[in-house]
Amino acid sequence: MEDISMKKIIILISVSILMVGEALAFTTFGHQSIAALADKYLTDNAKKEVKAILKTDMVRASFWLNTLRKKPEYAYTKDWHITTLDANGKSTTTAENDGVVQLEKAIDVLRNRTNHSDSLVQASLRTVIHLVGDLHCIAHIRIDGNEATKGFTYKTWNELTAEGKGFYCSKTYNSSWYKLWESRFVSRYTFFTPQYHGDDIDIFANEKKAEYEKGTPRFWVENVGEDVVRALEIFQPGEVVPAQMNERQETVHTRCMAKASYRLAALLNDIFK
Amino acid sequence: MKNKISIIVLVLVATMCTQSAMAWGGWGHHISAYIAEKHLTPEAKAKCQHYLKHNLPHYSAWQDYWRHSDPFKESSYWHSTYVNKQYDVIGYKGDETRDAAYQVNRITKEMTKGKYKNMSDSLVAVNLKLLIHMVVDMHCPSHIVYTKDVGAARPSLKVKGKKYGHHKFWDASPQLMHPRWKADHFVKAYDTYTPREIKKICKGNAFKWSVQSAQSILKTGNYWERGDEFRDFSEEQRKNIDETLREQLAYAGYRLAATLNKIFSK
Repeated sequence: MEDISMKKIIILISVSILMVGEALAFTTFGHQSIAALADKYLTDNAKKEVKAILKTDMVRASFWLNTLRKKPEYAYTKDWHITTLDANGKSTTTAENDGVVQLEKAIDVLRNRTNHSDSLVQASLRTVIHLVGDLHCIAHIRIDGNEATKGFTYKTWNELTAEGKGFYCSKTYNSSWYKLWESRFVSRYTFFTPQYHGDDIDIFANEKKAEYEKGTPRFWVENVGEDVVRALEIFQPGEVVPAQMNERQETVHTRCMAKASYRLAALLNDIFK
Repeated sequence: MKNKISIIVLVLVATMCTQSAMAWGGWGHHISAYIAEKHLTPEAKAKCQHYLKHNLPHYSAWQDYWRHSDPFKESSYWHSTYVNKQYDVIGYKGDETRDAAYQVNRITKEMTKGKYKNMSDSLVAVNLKLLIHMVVDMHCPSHIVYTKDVGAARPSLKVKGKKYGHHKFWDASPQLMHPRWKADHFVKAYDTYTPREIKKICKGNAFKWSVQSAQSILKTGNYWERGDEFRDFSEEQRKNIDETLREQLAYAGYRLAATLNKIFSK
C-alpha cells in the first residue's frame, strides 16, 4: 500500500515538472522572436498600420492572448491555442474553440476593419500575431484519432552516461513532447533580444521563404501537421529515444518558427496592402 | 517518512540534472561567442554564416548538448584543459589528445591555410561548432584542471545557504553576479580592451592561451574560504570575481575570433 502511494507521489512530481509551460507554444520569448522576425519583413504600409492599431510594437503584442486566457472571464479562449486536423491530416474543423477557426475570424475582422470598433480590430490583430505562431508549434496540433498528439512523456537514453562515464546525468531521463516543442530549444536563447534571435532563425533563402509564404492558414496548419506525423515516427509515449534524436529536432523547430514569421508578415502585408 | 523524502529528492534531482555540467552555465559561452562575433573580420563572418547558417552564439553550447550522443562521446573529454606544475598541457590522465587546448590547436592547424576548402561542408561546420565551445571552455576557472602538486585551492561555498562546489559556482557565476543582465549588458561591460591589448591577448596558440589561463585562474582559489556565503561577500571579493569573469570571457571571445579569422584569412 505504501509503495503504491509512494509511486503516486513520484509520478505526480515528475508530471508537474514535465508539464510546466504546457500550452504556451514557443514560450513568451519564442512568440516575441517570431514577431520580431515578421516585423523585419513587413512593408512600410503594413508596419504603419500595425503600429497605429496596436499602439505598441508587434513584439510586445505577441503574447497578449496568453495573458488574456488567465483572466477568468476569458478562460474560454484557452482552447484557441490549439487546432485539430482530421485523421487524414486535413484542416476541416469548424469548431468555435479551435485555433484555425479563430484565426480566420480575426483575419476577417482585419480585412473588414472599417466595419468594426477599434478595440475589436486591435484584439483581432493581437490574436492573429499570436495564433499564427501557435499554429506552427508542433505540440499545438492535434490529429483526430491520434491520442499521442495530446502530449505524452518519453524517455531519453543518454549514451554517454550509459557507458558509466558520469557527468551528473542518469542513463535515461524523462522528457516531454510538450517541452520538446515549446521550450527545449527556444529557452536556450532567452539571453538575447527577440530581434537577435529572430535574425538567427532567418536562415532560409528568398526562394524558400516565398514558397513558405504561399497558401492559407489551413494549408499552413496541414503543413505543420506533416511535421507532427514525422516526429511521431520517432517519439511515442513511454518509448526510449537516443539523446541525439532530441537535438536533431532543433532544425524542425527552427523551420517552424521561421515559417510562422514569414507567413505572419505575408499575411499582414496582404491585409494592409 | 525519511525514505519517502529521500526518494522525492532523488526524483527531483534526477529530473533537474539533465542539463547540468555546462561550463559557464551557458551564459558565459553566449557572452564570449557574442563578443567573438563582434571581432570577426567581414570575411570570417561571411564564411561562418555560410557554414553554420546561424550566428556564433547559436552554437556556443552545442558541444554540451551533443556530448551525450554516440558520434560525439569522445568529445566529452575535450571540455577541459589539464596542466602540471611546469604548466605543460598534459591532457586527461596523461592522454594529450583528451584536452581542449590540444583539440583547438589540432582543428586550427587542420583548417588554416585554406585547408578547410578540402573538407566537406558538414565537417567544417562541426569543427567550427567545436571551436566555438572549446576555446571558451579553456577559459572557465572550473575547466582548468591542475595536477595535485600545483596545490590549487578549489574551495566550495554557499549560495543562499545551498552548497556550491567550486565548479558549480564558476559555471553559474555570470548569472549569480549579474542576474538581470542580458547579452548586451555583458558585452558593454566586458568587451572593453583596446585593439592593441586584444592583439597582445591573441598572440600565440591554444597551448599558450591555456597556460596563460591556468596561471591567471590559480588566484581564484583564494577569493573565498571554504563554506563562505556568497551573499555575504565583501565588495572586494565581488570585484575580484567580476574582474576574473571580465578577463576570462573577453579573452575567450577575442581568441575565438582570432582563431576563426586565422582560419578564414586569405
